Amino acid sequence: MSSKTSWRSVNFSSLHIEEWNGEYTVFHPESGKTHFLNQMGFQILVDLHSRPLSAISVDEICQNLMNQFQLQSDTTFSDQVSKTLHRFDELGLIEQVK
Amino acid sequence: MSKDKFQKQSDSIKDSSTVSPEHDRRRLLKNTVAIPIIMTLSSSVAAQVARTSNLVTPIENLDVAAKNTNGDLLCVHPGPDGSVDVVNERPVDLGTLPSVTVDSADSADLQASACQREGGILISATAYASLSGKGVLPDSSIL
Amino acid sequence: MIVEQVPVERFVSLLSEQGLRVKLGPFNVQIRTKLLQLASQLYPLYANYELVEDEIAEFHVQVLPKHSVRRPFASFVRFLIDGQSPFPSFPSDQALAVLEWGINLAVAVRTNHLLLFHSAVVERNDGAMLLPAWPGSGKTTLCTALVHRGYRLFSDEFGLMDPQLGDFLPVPRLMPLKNQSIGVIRNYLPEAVLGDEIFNTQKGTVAHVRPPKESIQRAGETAKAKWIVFPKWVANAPLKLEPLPQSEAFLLLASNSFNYGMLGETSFKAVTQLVRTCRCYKLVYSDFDRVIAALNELTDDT
Repeated sequence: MSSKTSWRSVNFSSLHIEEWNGEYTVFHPESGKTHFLNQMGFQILVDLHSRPLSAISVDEICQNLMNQFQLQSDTTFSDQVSKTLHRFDELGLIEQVK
Repeated sequence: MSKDKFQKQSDSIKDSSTVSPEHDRRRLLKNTVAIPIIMTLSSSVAAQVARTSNLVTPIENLDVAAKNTNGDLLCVHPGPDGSVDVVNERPVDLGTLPSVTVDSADSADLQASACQREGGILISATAYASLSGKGVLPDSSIL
Repeated sequence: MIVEQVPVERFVSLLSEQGLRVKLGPFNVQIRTKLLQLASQLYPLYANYELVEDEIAEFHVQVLPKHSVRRPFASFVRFLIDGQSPFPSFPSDQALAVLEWGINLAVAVRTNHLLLFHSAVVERNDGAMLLPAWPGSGKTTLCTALVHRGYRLFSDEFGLMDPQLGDFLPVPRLMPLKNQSIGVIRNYLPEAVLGDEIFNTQKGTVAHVRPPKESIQRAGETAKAKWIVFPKWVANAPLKLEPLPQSEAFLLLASNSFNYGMLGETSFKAVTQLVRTCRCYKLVYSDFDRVIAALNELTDDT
């Protein structure tokens, strides 16, 4: 899994989002699926959506999250974020930009 | 609460196979803010009535076909919303309301012919057990 | 006209000829059978249901005797819905259980204009209370106790929600008690009307409770939900009624709906609205008096 891979949001505005005290239910009309996200999972989608015109690298996404959630840098975290990004991709919530 | 009620689809947690009971899901969702989490809702109740969950492959080998305790062949009929064009060796959708009949002929060959004539199919004992375990088909011991 | 106003001979002839058409909440069901034993079980248990005359029946069900050439001395029955048999044959003494089970299956599989939760629903003080639970958690038993203590029965099995209006629709049907629950309810509610015990069903011994007459008479009165309570019976456990986070209530409700996935966005919006407007709890109980007192207090506090 390369940290050089970049990602961008896919049709974020079509999502139906409900916030439940720091947790989120998200209905994805294209797939008809409902997803549950915690705060950090949701923040990834928001960060990608906030830069609609440019893709964001995994490293930058991790840095944003570490700043927002006051986390220390560690490689495991980067791997976890990367895996989550691939999962989002599979679900059609974001896409990879090579 | 069954762990099947919710399908955990993030592999970002180690030992995800152990994350099943309700309180563990809460812990994951609520307290673990240090990693991103996504789960996709899957309704197991709905899955029981989902058409694609009842796909089976018809078989012709009578030795491995599902039978009742008397050794009679169990002839499975797709429900009204199942597949109607039964083609051997290709998956058939049994739909949401499949039924089972048992013919009273003396030989397995005759029972198999009767099943085919009536639009039913024979399925393996393993496939039958799987579907009866899900409540889609009745337990073979009561037939 | 309700069933008990029909002479028993007429009831039997309706069942065996053109079919008995009764109103089960929003569904009209036509039942046909020539089995006298089943007719005699149905007559007292269906006593309060309204007969339908000129309306279309949504479900046409039939219970037929089936004779086996190989087992000529055994007596079996088949259940048919709209001419199709979803089940195999069952011993004929299980005919009532098979009929009730079959009608439930028809409701679960064929109702897609409403959002269907697998949940008991009762009403008190103009608010519906959902008691969603998985099989074996004691929801039917608790529901039976509540509807004999001032709550109106909507259903022991289905939460039928109009997703546009947010209203719940009553479908008061016989409540099948299983195994030990039968004795428990006989002791606690001697006034409850129970059918015969049916042995050796797939779910063990079953006995059906007749819904209170008022619940059937008022089956046309919908209600909005105010409380969602996830019950669990635990032997000798002290009563515990604790708030449940709404996000978890959403998760649990959506995942125990029969058709959440089928209705897509409609379901998402309906469950969101439902959970946002309800107070959500989890309940552990073992004692009827205590749990009824706690739920009375909850439903008084409007």
